Amino acid sequence: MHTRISQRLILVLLTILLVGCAQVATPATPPAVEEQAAAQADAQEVESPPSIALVLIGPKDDNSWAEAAYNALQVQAERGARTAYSESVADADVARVMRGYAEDGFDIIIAHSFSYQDAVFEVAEEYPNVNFAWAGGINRTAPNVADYDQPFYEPSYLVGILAGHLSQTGSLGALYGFNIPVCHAMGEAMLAGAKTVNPDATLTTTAVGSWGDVSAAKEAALAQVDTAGVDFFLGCGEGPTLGSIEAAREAGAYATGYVGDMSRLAPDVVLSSIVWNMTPIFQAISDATAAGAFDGPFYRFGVAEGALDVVINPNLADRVPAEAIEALEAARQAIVAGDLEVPFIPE
Amino acid sequence: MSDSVPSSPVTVRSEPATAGDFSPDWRTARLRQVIPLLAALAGVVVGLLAGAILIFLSGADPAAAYLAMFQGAFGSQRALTETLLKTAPLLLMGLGLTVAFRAQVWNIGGEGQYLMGALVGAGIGLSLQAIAPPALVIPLMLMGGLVGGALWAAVAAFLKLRFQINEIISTLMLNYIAEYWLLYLVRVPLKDPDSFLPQSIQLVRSVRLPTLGDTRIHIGFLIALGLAPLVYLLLWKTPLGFRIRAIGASQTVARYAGMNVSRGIVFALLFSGALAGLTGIMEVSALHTRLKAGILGGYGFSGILVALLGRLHPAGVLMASLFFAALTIGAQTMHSLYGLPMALAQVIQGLVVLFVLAADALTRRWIGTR
Repeated sequence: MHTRISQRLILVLLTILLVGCAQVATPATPPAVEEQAAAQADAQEVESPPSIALVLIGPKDDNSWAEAAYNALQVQAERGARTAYSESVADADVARVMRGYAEDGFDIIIAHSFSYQDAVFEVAEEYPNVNFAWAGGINRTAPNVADYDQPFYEPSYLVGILAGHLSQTGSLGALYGFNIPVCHAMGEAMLAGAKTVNPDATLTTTAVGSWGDVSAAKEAALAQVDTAGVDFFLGCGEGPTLGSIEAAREAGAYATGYVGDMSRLAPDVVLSSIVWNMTPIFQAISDATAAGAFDGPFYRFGVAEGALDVVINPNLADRVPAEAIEALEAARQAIVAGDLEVPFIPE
Repeated sequence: MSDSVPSSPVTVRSEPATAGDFSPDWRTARLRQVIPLLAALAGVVVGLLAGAILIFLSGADPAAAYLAMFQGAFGSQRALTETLLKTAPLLLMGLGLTVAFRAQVWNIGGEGQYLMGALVGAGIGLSLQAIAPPALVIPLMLMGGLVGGALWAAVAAFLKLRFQINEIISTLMLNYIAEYWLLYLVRVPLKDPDSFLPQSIQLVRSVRLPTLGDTRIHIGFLIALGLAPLVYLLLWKTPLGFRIRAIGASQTVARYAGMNVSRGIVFALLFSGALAGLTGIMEVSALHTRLKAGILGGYGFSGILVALLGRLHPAGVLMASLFFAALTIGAQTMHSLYGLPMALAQVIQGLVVLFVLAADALTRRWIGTR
């Protein structure tokens, strides 16, 4: 009798577990693959653009780094290119995934993480007829490997102008995944932007040591609030940014969305977001490949090229004074016109 | 296939009726070996069926998705290569843990031992690659992996024997210490001066594990494969193996029988640690090519699953590691073709292990109550 009951219990538990898993798994991808296939079929009759495969380090809908690249891939799919992507690919697996795409005959493979460096150059050597691109930003290229820069420091300067106007304490905080040039330059550019408004502005920085550890970033951000009176945050990396948003929520500070509009995540906290339009990069790679002129360039697309910008959270727009908007707009115009060069302070 | 579970125990029940002559004991024992195997198989099938429901709910055709998975794992030479390359670390970890778990030594510090093996082995490689011939450096690196992993496990063995500290706690805690050692080393003393990421310099090509002919299969795979029968011989054909299994069955009885229980426990821990360390240096040498934060592949924990799924038998562990590798590699194809999330593969792996263990527990109980 006793065993019967426990057997039933186990079955019930397993069923509950299964249902739970199912609910987690349901919001998966709609049949977008079929649409792409259909689009390919249509385009096949005309000359179709080069096929392109994308490898992402995070989920494609992360509101940030990975999503920026995924969106640009979708633009290529709409143009009729054969496309494919893999998400949440660890460094250890990326060489295998890229080899798979190369064997499948893709013309272009984009490895969208700095940490894919070793694998990209190893696989690119094995497949000289495939064009690769990686998110290096350090101008390391090969004949069939392009590098694309991420000058996030340019929009960070614009964020700094907002910070100069809206920070009560004049104490700004930056949270970096690692203290690497891309991140370091972001914090310094924000400080430079803020100083155009408030010459006494100061910057406190913390390198969290992880791109993904949200809770560590939150603790670091709260420590900045306690020790330096920080009330305006900028994050470099998704984990640091999400952590700073959490901390800002608790401490009544402002935070900044990183490489994607994060205002929906915390409508009362995320004052502005740095947004990244990667379509110009993907388009340049595709065009060079189609023309047979790809020679492993170093792409540098910033604010002037329309690849990077700052968007203000509409929910908080009424808190931003008109003069701040004007100053931001003027600075943006000056960057586009080439009159203003945002200081790049990598270390 | 799942029908075989409920029906076969009935046969077992009928056995004792003929008790009295010599054969039935043998036949019962034989059946008791076969039934758990069938139960495990049924668990795999039910787990995959449960996975099919999830695939269906995710908006894909389960049959097509599983077919894509199968082809992604075995459908081409490249796919097969990748699957075998993924099998090697799982198999090595699983074999080591098989010996530990047979002695009821619950070493869950595979991650830490893996890292320490990687650190020692790669340390040897990085410091000798410029001055010594590869034929000397590579064996030294592998030895370094074995020693590094075993020494890290030895810490837990010492704590257990000297202070009676439970190895589950100590090995788990040692994982974190090892991880932070790695993070410190790649940030400060071993950091590549030319890179701004926390990582060591690269192992040069000549000191990476040699591969077989034109394939990318490296000798680490052969070592893992060769160790499977050796572990079987160790456990079932040597006095040491008998002692380990006796300790696992009952420490008290083993002690009364005059066995040196402490020595058996130390061996079990060190053996599993050594194989974990070998896995670490193997993966670093063949795959990561340098020390960095990302070298942990989660093998310390997936190795436990493989050992349990393989029912602590080298043949079972071999099948389980191949199965896990195929699921992981195939999931990539499934993900690419049908847009199914990669997490689904892990969920399916978890479901399979869960159902196998549940089937195991249920049949044990069933047999026990008859």
